[in-house]
Amino acid sequence: MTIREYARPDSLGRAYELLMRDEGNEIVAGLTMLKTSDRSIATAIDLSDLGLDYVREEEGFLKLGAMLTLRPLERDERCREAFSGALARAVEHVGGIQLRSHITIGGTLALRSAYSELLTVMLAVGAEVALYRQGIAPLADFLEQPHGRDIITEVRLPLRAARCILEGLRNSYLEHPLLCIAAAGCGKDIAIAVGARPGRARLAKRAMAAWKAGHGAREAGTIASEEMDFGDDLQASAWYRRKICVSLVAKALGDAIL
Amino acid sequence: MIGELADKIDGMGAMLGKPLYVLDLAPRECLCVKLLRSPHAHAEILEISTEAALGIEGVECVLTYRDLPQVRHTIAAEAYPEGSPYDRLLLGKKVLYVGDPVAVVAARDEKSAAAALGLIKVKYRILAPVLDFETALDNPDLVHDEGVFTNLPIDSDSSRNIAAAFPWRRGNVDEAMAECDQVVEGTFYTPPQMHAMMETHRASCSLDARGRLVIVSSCQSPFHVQRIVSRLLEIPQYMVRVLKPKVGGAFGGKNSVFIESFVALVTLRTGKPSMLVFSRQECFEATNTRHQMRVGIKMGARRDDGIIRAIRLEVLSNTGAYGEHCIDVLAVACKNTLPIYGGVEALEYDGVAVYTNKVPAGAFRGFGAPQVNFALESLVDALSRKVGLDPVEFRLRNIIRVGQSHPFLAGGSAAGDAVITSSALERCIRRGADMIGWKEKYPRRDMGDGKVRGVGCGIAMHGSSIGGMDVVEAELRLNYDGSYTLFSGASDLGTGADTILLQLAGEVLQTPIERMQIVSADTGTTPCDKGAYASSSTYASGNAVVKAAQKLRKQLIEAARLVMETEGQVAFDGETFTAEKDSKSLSLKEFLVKVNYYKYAPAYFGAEEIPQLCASARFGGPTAPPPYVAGFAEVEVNTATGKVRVLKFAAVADCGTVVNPKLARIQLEGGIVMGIGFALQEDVHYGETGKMLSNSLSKYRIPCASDIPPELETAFEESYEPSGPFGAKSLGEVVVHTPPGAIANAVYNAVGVRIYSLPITPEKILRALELRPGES
Repeated sequence: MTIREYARPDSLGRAYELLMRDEGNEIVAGLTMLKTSDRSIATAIDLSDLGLDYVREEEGFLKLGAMLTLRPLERDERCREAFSGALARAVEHVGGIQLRSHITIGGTLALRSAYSELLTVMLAVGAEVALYRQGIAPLADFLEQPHGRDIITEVRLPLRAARCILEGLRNSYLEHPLLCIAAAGCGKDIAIAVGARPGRARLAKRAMAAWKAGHGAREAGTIASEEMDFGDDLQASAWYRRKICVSLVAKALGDAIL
Repeated sequence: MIGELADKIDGMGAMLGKPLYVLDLAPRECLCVKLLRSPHAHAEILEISTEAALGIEGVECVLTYRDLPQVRHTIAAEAYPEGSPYDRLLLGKKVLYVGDPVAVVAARDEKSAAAALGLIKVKYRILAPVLDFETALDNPDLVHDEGVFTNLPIDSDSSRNIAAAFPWRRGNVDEAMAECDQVVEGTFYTPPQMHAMMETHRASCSLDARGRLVIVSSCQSPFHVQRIVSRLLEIPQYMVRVLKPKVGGAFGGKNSVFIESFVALVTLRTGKPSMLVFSRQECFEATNTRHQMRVGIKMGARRDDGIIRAIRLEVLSNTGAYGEHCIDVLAVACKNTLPIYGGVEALEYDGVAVYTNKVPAGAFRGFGAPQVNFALESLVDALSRKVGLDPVEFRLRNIIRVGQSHPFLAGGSAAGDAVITSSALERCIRRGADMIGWKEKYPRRDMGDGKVRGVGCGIAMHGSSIGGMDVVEAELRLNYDGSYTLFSGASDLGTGADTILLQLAGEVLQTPIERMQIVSADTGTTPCDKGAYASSSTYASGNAVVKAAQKLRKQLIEAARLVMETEGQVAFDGETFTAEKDSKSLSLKEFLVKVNYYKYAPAYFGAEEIPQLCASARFGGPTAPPPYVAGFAEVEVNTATGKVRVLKFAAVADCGTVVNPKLARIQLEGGIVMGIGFALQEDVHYGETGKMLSNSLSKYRIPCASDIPPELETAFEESYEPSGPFGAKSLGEVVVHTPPGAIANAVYNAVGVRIYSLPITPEKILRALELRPGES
């Protein structure tokens, strides 16, 4: 990666203006993924002066600023308590503390990585993404399609779901998951998100409906494994992902209602 | 001293950031060297133009195959005449793997060098690559269409894509197998493991006052580097000095001459110092990997006595585009595996190393033994079941004992096979079984909720140096102040060899290592040594050091006798000489004052043979006495997902006398963890056109701290090896062999499925479980 110019705008408006001025300009955050890429950036726009590294609880939401990094996220009391600690668990396997001190919420959202357990958890709890120009978008929509050139300012997680269970299967501690399931909610009202399929996290709506209608955990898991698309990658096959989806969803549901 | 838990002598210095490594010692204003590499697995260079690159400011030279003599060689750092085929060119017209160097750029700084790389224009004619090692043999597409030269008869035949072959047999396997009522066989696969050492490959070069090339390299064998560079660049060896400073890990990966010739070339051409540092990506894509192997074994035993009688072993080894170390790996694959079982009447080994257009394989801790050990120990378990014996008992019944001979052990001759001269393997096995809780836990415990635990074991042997080949020297000097300096060509790779050698010398001279220093691994100042490979530093280099120290001790006593003007026995305790006859005594300090002033020691200087205050010794031996490890794994298998967790690993080693228990423990723990990585999580992927995809630490997952089993227990059972320095053998490689077999066996004992390829992944286990009728 090469950077020609560097800018630290003092307002979101200014940042947006810079972003739209040239196709080669990019918002930069933790610079962990970008640094290993071949990109040539004209002007790197650094949002560090905009105070976007906050954790706020307001209006029934846990609001995480786009420049908040994963390390303070996993250490913040409010983040550790919310959703039965799923946020901290979701980032436990990301790099080491050094990397988590650089990786941002905004960068994680922008990358829309299929393997992100954090995105899977956020999808299950019903997160919304705030964009500077386009306003609020449900994370479910945001993950499905790119949102064009804009600035992510924060993600808001509705605090109504008390528990969120994360089941991720990985072959070694620092690898990304072969599959991950997040089940958030309580009783019969549980949202089930399936990530690392290896496609991006998606809600298993038919499985959710079956669970709501009173079907058992194993059956809901089977329905989830049938309704989702799975694929092969170097780490695992679609067959394997589909197979463990059943038991991982069943376990997540079982633990969610404990 | 022997048995001292000494810290590594440079440990604190390294931790405090002292400038000890190649990069720290970089010559001032050295040119940055970079290599342009082939994007194709197999191609011919039709055109290559360097004008634009040379036009970049700061670029000092750009070299292609047209600028270099086309001298075929091997980059394998091994004793001359090398066994490895001479199939490499520094830069050739053909490229044989994605990453094969195509051009060398030297520039004032990294930016200019990178810019120049981007401006070299190459036109390739793409040729058909051979990418599957199982179809490489007799494939119409050839990796090397030139006849490949070999120093030694290694059955190389490039017209069949054969880099080397190693057939060996004793007795008649068919007959012996026919007498066995229990036979097992299987075919196993292991991937090309990567060293992933902390410090990537790098070397610098500069010219000294006499115009001599001085190469500072993170390498394992400075003397071999010197010889190879000298030959390639056609300059006398005495005009090349190679020295190895502190090395940040190697594991065999720095036992080929990847870089030194290039920096030497650049410095010769430009007259300026130069440095080439491989990126982590180059380290993965363009150095050496472990040899990928397909291992086929058939073994037979009789149920009535439980003795293994016949073994047939077939190895197909993928040596990639170039064959460095390919024949040694084939040889070690049978020599450092099969002789752990005595009493086998008939043995047949067929090893073949084939060329493919993939990343070249080379030296890697274990050298073929870990691959075969996985297969062997897996089948030994299967055979134990057929014979009706507990796997531990079966092994105890079959392991070779002191006094027994084996045809595949180094040191055999027409007069007879070599004999085992030391072994604590039985104690290692029994103690390891105890440590894992074998009695209570074998074979399995169902934990409920779909999780099953099982225990499994695997044993291993290796060698100590290369019998009948290695020759090393050491020199030891008493300094004016009563301290000692040891000169050894041995290469400490972070292994602690420098510390061990001082402990050995200190033991003989009864001197604490604080008062000893070592100068090592420098062709300009130290005597010749093969370098660090084949687990030789303690056994071979150590033997030379002990001999030199014993010689020196004798000479010092003789000198003291003359200085004290006494007769008869003189005792020396490291500080004081005492004459037994008349109780005269002389401190080392006084001795040195006397012996360094002619007038004070006329008897000494008048002696016919003036005893020297320095001594040197050489060592070479016919044998390579095996060290042993018994490894025990306890695993938990999740039958719903196939995920394996290693709850506990216990390893007990016999390395002869343990010279330094602290360093020995680190070797054993580190080796087990590396073996666990090989067993469970390290896999190498290639793209369809032959590009290696597993080329970063995020894609190739070596164990991190959290992958280490929560319980990792190690112990040592000492034997005494008469041919070793104070009874020591070796430890560096044998530590890596046991985890794959032990874990595969533990998985089988837990859930009844046997996995035949590494790494043992959750998906492989789940698939195997699916295929079993009606089992969980």
